[in-house]
Amino acid sequence: MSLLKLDGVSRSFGGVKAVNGVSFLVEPGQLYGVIGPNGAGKTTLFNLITGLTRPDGGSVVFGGVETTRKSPEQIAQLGIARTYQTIRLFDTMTVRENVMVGGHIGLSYNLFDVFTVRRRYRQSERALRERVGGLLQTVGLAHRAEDQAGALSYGEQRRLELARALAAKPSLLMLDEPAAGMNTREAIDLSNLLRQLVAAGDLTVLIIEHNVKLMMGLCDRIAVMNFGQKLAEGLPAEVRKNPRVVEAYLGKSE
Amino acid sequence: MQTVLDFFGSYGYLIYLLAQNAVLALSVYITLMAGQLSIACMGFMAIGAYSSALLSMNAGVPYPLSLVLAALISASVAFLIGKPIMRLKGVYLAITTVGFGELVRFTALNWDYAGGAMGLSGIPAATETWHVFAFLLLLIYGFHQLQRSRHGRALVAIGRDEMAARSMGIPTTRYKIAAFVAGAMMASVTGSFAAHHTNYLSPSEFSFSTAVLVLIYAVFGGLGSHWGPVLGAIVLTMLPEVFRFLHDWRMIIYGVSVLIVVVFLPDGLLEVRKLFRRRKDRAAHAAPSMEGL
Repeated sequence: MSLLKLDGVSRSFGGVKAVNGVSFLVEPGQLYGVIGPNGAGKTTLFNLITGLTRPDGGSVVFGGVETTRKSPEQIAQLGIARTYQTIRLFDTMTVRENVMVGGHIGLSYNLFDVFTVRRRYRQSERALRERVGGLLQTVGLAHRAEDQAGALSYGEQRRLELARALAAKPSLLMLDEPAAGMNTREAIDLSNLLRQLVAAGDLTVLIIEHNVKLMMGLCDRIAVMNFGQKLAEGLPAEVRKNPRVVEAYLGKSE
Repeated sequence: MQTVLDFFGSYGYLIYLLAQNAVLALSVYITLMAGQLSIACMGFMAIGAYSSALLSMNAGVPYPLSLVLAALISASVAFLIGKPIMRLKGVYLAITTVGFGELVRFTALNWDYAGGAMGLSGIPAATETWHVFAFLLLLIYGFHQLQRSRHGRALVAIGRDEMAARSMGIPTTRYKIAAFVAGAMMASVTGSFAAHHTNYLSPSEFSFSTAVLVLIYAVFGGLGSHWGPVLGAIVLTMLPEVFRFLHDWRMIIYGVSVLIVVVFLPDGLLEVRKLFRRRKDRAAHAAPSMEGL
């Protein structure tokens, strides 16, 4: 069964069809890429999947559950975590606290446990702290754990957002231009990290990125969007040769 | 020993007010944690004061129980109005909560059963100063623990970026209502304490300007942690007393010190310690960076 199924999903803003009848399937364990020029509707597509925007038409099914009309928090609880193109960190919290917020849904103790310092509270906090420490190590931010998130550099903030999303133990991780502002070295590190995470099991990645070269090397499958519609879909090699894709990116040859 | 008693005799009410104002500042702080500017504290303080006074005077409910019942009444009111008004943000929420406070005050003013404009007198005395301090300590402990839990982190996360918090699976509306109800209960308890401390209640005690003062305590002290509102309330409650020898000029000192803090310590009095740390940081990270752009 597919992990994520979009069926004719549409959304207009005013007269503009930002996303127009887009359908595709993401299989478990895939690294699925969505590419397309600016304004193609990629971020709107992400917002439709994560519930930040409601579709006008079509349906989204995640892990067998219809999520078309669910709220962002319900969808997150089902196992989708995401990052944002414009970084959205909790800037006054420390790096560690940001990632711990990401682990919110994994904790189940109540306020009574907190005030009476019950074992349930202490143990789950300790376990989360350890896991967060590991995640910070993974993204290379362990040395900045106690710094304010707002004080990090741009590249560090991107990595922190990734760690925060991973803290939710998602089955689907959605990354909105994770390599934006990164240099080649950092972008390669990122794609290596993503490959490792997927290889480690239980994670599927849906990724929007402008860096076409990076995507061709990283993704198992790629969908190309332009003007809100899906232009093409397939293996990276197939997509690259597709004349409609070449036209969208390079213009029509006379 | 005699000097201690004399001191308490002269300053007993001031000492009481320190704790009461600190609790009120915390009641505003808990909604501010979630980024919600609510100035309904005086409204809930009034509900707490009147409910507990009327319960003990007219129904013979014993003191600690009347306080608990009053807090439950305040919590119910907060829950009922919390659902619609917690959807509001910023100025709109602030105006609505001011309106609520005034509504409560006008109700008390025009309700003969509650004494009307004359107020209620002859409320049985029961509150000792240490009650309020015990309550304050309990709250400080509560906030201390809260900030080390998923619930406290969720509140702060909602305050910084509600959308991001929602995509972390945090039910933001529920948290905002919970914070509003908790703040209402804290204010309500101070109200009940006050009613049984001064034995007299009048609607004018719960005015809009007092609510603004409480907000100033919190902001003046700093919103970085619960110590900020506590510190702010203590400093600003003592200030007019410390400068009493300046007579009418003392309120100018008050205004000027609030201004100085707001201009030079925009994160509040509590952030004085960070001034030193920041200077060190700046020296350590002298290299240019993107931060602050």
